[in-house]
Amino acid sequence: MKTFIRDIDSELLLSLQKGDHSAFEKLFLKYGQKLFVFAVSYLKQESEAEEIVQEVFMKVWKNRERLKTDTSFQSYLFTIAYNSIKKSFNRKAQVDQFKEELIDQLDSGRDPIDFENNYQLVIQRLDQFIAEMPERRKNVFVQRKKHGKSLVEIANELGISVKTVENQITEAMKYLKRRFAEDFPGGLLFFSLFLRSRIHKL
Amino acid sequence: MSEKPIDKERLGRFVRGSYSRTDYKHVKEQFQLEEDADLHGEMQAHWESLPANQPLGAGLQVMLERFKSTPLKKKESTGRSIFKYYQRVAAVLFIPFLLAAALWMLHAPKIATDVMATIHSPAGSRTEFVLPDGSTGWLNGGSKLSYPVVFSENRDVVLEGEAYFEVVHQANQTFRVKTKALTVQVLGTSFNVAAYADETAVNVVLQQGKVQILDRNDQLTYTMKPDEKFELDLLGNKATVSQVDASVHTSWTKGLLRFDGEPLSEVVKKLARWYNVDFEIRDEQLQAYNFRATFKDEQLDEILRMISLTTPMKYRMEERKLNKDGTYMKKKIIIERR
Repeated sequence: MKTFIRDIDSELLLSLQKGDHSAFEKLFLKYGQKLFVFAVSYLKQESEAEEIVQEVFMKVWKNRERLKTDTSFQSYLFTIAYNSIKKSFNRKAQVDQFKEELIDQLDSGRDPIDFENNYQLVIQRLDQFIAEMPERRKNVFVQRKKHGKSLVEIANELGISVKTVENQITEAMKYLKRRFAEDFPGGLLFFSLFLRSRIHKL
Repeated sequence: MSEKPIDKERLGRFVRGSYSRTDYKHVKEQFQLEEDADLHGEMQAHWESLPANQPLGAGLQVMLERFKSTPLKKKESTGRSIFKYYQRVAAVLFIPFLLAAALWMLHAPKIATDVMATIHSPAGSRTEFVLPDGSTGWLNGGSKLSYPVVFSENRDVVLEGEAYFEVVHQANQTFRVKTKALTVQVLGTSFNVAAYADETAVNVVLQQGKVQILDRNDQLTYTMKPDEKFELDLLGNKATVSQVDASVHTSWTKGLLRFDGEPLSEVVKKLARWYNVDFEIRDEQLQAYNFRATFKDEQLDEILRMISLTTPMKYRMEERKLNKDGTYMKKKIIIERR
């Protein structure tokens, strides 16, 4: 069965080498969605997964004359996809680093909110809560937390006092804590499940 | 960094989307390792477990259409045409792509001004576009828009189907939307044009600014004011102008599906484009039933249920059939009298 599948691909690849667009289209129809599903399970964002699909197929087109027709096209796709996903994942992790740090901070207060479970949802909520801040507070907060600017820098840029910047950040953190405590969907269930599992462990 | 063995279960939870903070942190560490044979192996196994030949999602359909929409398709595949292929892709994709962008910059001066690019928006999708002059807009499902890669004296684009335009003002360069039946000429404004090949009327709705309607011979026939609808009946070759709420006609760009007391025959045409399905109405009288409603992010099934509540119709969906090449045929919905 496996060799049979490979044979079909190698015919397509031979046509592709000659610059046949319909062979390219057939390969896209065959593997496009598979690649997308694969990429989205690591990147968690459809737009990013689509970029991977685009990148991979552009490489296929660009390298079509050098494609090996005797080895599995699937492993070739996987190799490009693996490298692209890894790169994209790490780039994204770097950009999102500030969110992880924020979650850690919000979690270490005197009345801790635990973010252990459903991390994807927690991050989504954080994005949403930040987006819902008043414009000026959001601006100050993002400059500080995401871009790592100093209080003085932000104060100078916005023409406000350092004290005001500080207050905005304190208020923003308070607000986030409150939103997480109040609005987390299924909060109670989520908490009780967590407590139970902790009790079990004890 | 020392190599850590991968935790299969953690990775599995991460892949499936219900993962904890600790899961994420571990997976992240794994990804950050220089070369990780374990991760590579696990991901390869995951890759191999996924089925091929799955129907493309909307985003990928658009991508494929864009890959396909190159007028140089039939030419010999020389090194040069690869570049042109990329240029076309660069011109129509919104995702910035460094390689394509670089090629674009290198070769842009050489492009003949009459090279056209085409954007296809497949049925079931809406596509946002940016033209070379910075004008933007939305292309509705089942529509296509062709434009020169470089605008010359006039900014002429060719539309089949429906599009909403926000045209950037340029004093001495008119912007023209050409359809089979009429041409819309503007200086800078926002408006909607619906000129579907399977419709017997073309209409233009002006939201803001000023546009001129030209006939097939480019003769000025009418100058529109905001909130006016210019409709040309192609069968009788008769034009009518009416007062409308322009926002009703541009709401599709915001993902709203609006029916303004239209007959069921028109309603199903819109639904067919919106959801990429086929309809068959098996009753003459039903076609004329009027329907008024607004939907947002609603499933097709739910919309059909709503319509069947207010009209004496019932509907059923036919199973999608598999084509020879492994793709699926469109889903077909049969509408009958109750």
